[in-house]
Amino acid sequence: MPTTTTDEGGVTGRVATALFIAWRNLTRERRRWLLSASALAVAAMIVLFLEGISRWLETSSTAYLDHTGAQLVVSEKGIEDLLFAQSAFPPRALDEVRTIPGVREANPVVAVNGIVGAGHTHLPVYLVGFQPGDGHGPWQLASGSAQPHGAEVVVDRGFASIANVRVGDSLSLFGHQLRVVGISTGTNAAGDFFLFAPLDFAQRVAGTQTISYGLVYLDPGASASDVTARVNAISGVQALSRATIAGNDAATITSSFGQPVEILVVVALVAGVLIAGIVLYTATVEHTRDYAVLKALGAGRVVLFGSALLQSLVLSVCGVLLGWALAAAVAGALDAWYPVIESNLDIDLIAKLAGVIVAVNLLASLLPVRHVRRIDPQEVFKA
Amino acid sequence: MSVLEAHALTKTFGSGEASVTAVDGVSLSVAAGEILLLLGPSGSGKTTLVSMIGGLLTPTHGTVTIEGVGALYDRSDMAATRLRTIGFVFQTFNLLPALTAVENVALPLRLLGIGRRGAIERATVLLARLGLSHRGHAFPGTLSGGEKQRVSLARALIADPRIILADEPTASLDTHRGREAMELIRTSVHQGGQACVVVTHDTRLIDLADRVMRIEDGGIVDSPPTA
Repeated sequence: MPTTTTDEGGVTGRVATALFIAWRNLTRERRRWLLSASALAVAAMIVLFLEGISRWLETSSTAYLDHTGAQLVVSEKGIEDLLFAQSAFPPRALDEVRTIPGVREANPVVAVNGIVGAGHTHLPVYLVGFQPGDGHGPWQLASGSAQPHGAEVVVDRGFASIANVRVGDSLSLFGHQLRVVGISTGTNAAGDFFLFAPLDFAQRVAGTQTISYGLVYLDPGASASDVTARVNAISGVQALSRATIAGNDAATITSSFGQPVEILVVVALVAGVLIAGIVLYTATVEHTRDYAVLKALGAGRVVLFGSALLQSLVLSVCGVLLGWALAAAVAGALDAWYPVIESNLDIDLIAKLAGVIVAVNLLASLLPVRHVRRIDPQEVFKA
Repeated sequence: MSVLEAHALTKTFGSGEASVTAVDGVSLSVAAGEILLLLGPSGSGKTTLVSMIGGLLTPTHGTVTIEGVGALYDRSDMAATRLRTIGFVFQTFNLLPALTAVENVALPLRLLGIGRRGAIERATVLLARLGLSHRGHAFPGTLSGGEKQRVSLARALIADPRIILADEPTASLDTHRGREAMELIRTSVHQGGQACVVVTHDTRLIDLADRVMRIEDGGIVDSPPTA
């Protein structure tokens, strides 16, 4: 058969045509396009926000240990985490640790888990007793001082917000009256608010002169395994790497809270696929006649399926970007009004999830592609 | 030599006792620059016939040849053949609503892979020839019925096809506009040398055709002379 025109542009030209048709289909009905992108954005927002919470649960549970920078953590024998078990051992054990060759520093910390009244509710708190000056208090401040002395305390920002206390206010904790000298940030460990007080105050709260943990720093070149072996030889205590203790805390948080959130993420993702499928299918079905015309004229698969897929891709990318903005807005609002739960929308998390969401949306767009494949070009003869 | 030849085209839908033969053994040929009017009432099988000629429907029996080459009803090959050799004019125009008039006209060229600029330039020239240079950037929704049909004709002609298939090209237009559109098709076909098949139920178009065939119940009943 005769060929009366030349194929000057080839596949690139057809892809450009597919993109052109997809773009025109989308932008011609701006309200419809905005509604579709918004529906996809809501689905993306839920996934991003929940995954951000999951990320926060994991990172916040190890934030304190991570910021101490200690190489080893000494605890009561058999205790292998920081947040959940109650470790106690006599201070002289830590004195012995300090004599081990290779140990540069071994600083005591007293930890007390408890529930305290705050405002109209009760909140879980984790009281850290530390020696001011040794760097084991709050690492980031919203206001005030990081160094409590005597009957002073630094409280987490979320706790302060719910308890409605500011720097300078008095606070009743564990039956003791304390003055708030600082408000810290980043010290909400998966909903367990960190409070920082002088070591002796924490010991009074605990009702004992024991200490809970020793944070050990090694000399340059010292062998962590040699020091660990020497610590383990001391009666009643053991040493574990900071990573081990942090890992155990993260594992407990993940299995208690993280997994349910992950289940919600999967549910949101499935709901998102359904929403994407419906939105993208509807957007394609509305153009059934146009696709029939393209088929009748002789459009190839690149243009037919390409325009349907590109339409889905453009909608998905817009949906993800809008969803990211929405998730950031929701996270910001939550942080301002109820700073108990946080959502860590880090760039690497966003990039990873955006990829997953766009891929999932493209998977959902197989439905409209199937529809396009089945369109009968004879539709064009219908009046 | 005929540009278009159809031999014993038959289309049967369904099977067994429930089968319906929409077109039954129709043969026809159309020469270059000739307009063949297929006249028939609704349900006579004329759209099925034009669908088979245009490669949109595979015949149950029979063959179609274009300039001596047999049409292959393999999906991808037939689509490419349609794009290069057949121009369609539809009753309802079938312009893409998201594209402007000139973009609609340029569409077949773009589907052939020709770059946007070149395609638009050729479409603009053709639209001007059809008296629509001032409406090139209008969207179909803002065009009158007559303008839409002229854009539709321009789209059918843009890739220099060998065959024009027009399905009820005047049905959506009033008498005056319909006749104007048909005269435009006639002029374009006579100038361009395409083989043109027009299917219609409108007997007022008989005088604009070079040849008329009457179709009823899927078969050619006679070939009355043109008025």
